[in-house]
Amino acid sequence: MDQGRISAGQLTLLVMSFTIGSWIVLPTGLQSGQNIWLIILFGLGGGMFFACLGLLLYRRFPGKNLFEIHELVFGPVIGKFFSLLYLWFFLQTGGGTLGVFVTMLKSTVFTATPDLALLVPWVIIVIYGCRRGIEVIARSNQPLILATVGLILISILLVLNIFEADNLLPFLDKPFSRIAWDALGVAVFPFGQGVIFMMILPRVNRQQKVAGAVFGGLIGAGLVLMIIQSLAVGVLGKVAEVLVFPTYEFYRIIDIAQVLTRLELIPLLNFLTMGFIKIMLCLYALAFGTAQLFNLRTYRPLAIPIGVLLLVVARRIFPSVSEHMRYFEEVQPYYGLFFCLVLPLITLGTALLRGRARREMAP
Amino acid sequence: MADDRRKNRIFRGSLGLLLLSLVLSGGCWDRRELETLAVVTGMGLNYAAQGDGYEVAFQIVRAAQLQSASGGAGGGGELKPVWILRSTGPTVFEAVRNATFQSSRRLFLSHNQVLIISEAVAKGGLLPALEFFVRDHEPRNTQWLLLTPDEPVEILDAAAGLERVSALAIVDLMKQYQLTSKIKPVYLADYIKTRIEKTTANTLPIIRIYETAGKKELLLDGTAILKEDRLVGFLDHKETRGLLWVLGEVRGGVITVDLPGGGKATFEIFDAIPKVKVEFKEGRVQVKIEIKERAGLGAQTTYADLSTPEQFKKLENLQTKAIEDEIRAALAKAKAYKADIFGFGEYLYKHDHRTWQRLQKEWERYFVDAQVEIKIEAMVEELGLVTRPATYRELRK
Repeated sequence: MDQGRISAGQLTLLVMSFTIGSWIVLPTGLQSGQNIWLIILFGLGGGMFFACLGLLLYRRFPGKNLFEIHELVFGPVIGKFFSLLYLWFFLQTGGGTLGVFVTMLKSTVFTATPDLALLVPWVIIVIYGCRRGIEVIARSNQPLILATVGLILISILLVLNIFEADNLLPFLDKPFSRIAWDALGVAVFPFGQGVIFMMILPRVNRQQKVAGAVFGGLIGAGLVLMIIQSLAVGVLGKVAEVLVFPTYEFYRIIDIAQVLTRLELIPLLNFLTMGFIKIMLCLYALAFGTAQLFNLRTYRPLAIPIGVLLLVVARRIFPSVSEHMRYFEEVQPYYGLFFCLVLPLITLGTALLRGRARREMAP
Repeated sequence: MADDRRKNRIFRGSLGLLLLSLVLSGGCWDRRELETLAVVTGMGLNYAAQGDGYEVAFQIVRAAQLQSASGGAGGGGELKPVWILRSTGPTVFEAVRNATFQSSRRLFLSHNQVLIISEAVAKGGLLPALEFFVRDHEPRNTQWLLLTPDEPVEILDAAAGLERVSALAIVDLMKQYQLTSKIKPVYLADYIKTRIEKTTANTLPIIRIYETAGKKELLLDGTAILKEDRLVGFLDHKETRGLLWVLGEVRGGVITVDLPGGGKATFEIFDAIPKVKVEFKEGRVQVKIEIKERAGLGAQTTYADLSTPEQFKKLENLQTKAIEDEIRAALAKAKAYKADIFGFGEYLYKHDHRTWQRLQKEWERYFVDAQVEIKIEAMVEELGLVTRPATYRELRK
């Protein structure tokens, strides 16, 4: 098994990249238009709550990852079943992310390139990174997230001449139920998907800093997403609602003295690097989890077959972009909630009950 | 043992080659080199003469001709620097593709600068014609939109004054709008952005052909109003600037006033900052427009000395009236067409969306009924290089 260690700071950056990941490309809750930043804020709140649950669970079983916790709490059979459910979730998250990126690349720049020509190199690099272990993933993430955040901050300057603060008004013109639903969607995806870090927490070298690192990462990602979405809405106005990739689109309008134009490369770079980290983490959790499930000595040989599986899932999971968007709008909030709220709650509840039972039996 | 190692090396080498080829294949499969492209700089949209569908006109640059012109080589059978092409199809997209029946190279739309729209299309609804340009990945949202009462293809084919390519000439015409502020340039992105708002009406600049010295030249001629995507009316230059004052897009230009006692004075506008406030009070929409304008004296047709502070005060008042005049004129037209080109409704939506919810269904009625209060603060700050016309003046005691 992977003996690599990462620092708390690296964990923070990983959480950030993972959360920014694919949501930045195909954001949900765009119907809320100018209130998108508020949705992200609420979503961040929800995400922090989910993180609290996970961290509470982790505190009861320090040094154990999610699958080990399952087995400790439910015993080997039911525990493995729970772990299997999560394996599916990781597979679906990773495959979905890969699918989003291929869709985006195909509809923006690489219109005539076949899916496989985009997918295969990507998957190869992801497999390579995954086999190298979490240390390498964390270290390769550092420059990428710095570049992404840096470019997004520079974007603020780039859009100054076309940004209209008025576009962010009116504040809260939609019914609250709508806002709550959209916020739930954002809480579950991208923030809730961070449940995947339950597989990585034991790898952190200074365990007492884990909680702070996770929260820091979530807040950092929330801020970055808020900035870029507010920029998109401020530049595009209500049009952001009808665009498939608003965060990509607003860079196309940037025009500073006819010199700085056509800056689509910036969002593409950001999206690709963040997506790369997210998919790599998904694959790592998948391979690691599978190895654990079957009591294998090492996860490394699994990276290739599971990587190929990821590729297949990515091609099949969303037959069209329209189904994809409908899924995120209407299904994902329930579905994701099951994995980031219901299952951890059940696990935590059972752990508490059994813990109490054990204590009562002990004396 | 040694054989094993060799096999291993071959295996690794071939694996590496395979990976390399895979990584290299992930490039851009639709890349095209410049000499295989037909770079489109201007496009015209019209309905097809026969049947339903669109007729799209293209202006394609002959890059080689552009170069030979600057070199001054010229020569006998020199071609025009642009090639004009027309094709039809049931949708704009299909018309664009159908152009390859005539063009040996595939049309490349990323560098398209202007979209010239015929009046017929504007009357029949513009968005269905523009939709392709937003949806497709090639055209940019920063193309200029213009309306023409003539055939769009004629605009693309017109002599371009000092330029070689008329589309590029139009781009420059749009960019120097602030020299008069009597034209409102509209990007494709602007049009879409206004179009998606519930109550705001769109405007487009009008371009047409006029003949001088036997050549067809281009002329910007006012502004068209599109309500609910359809052409409903026109603004002249003065009314257009009336609109721009309110939108805060007056960045320059000149304004002429009649002086009391005959003669005229022309001012150069430096800048103007508007402040608009829309409220709903006592069953009526109340609009307050405050404009702070700064200007300098640019020309006068009298012999009077206008340089004294007292005269400045008078000039400022005259200017205030002239600006208010322009705004009132635009307002009257907009109300006549029942088209909210100023975006008062959008302002109300942004600052008081609950009231707007109530009014939006009948916004037309409320807009026509709106009470508009205009307050203008004009400042004359500069004189130019002389204080008064060069006439002899008796010494003051």
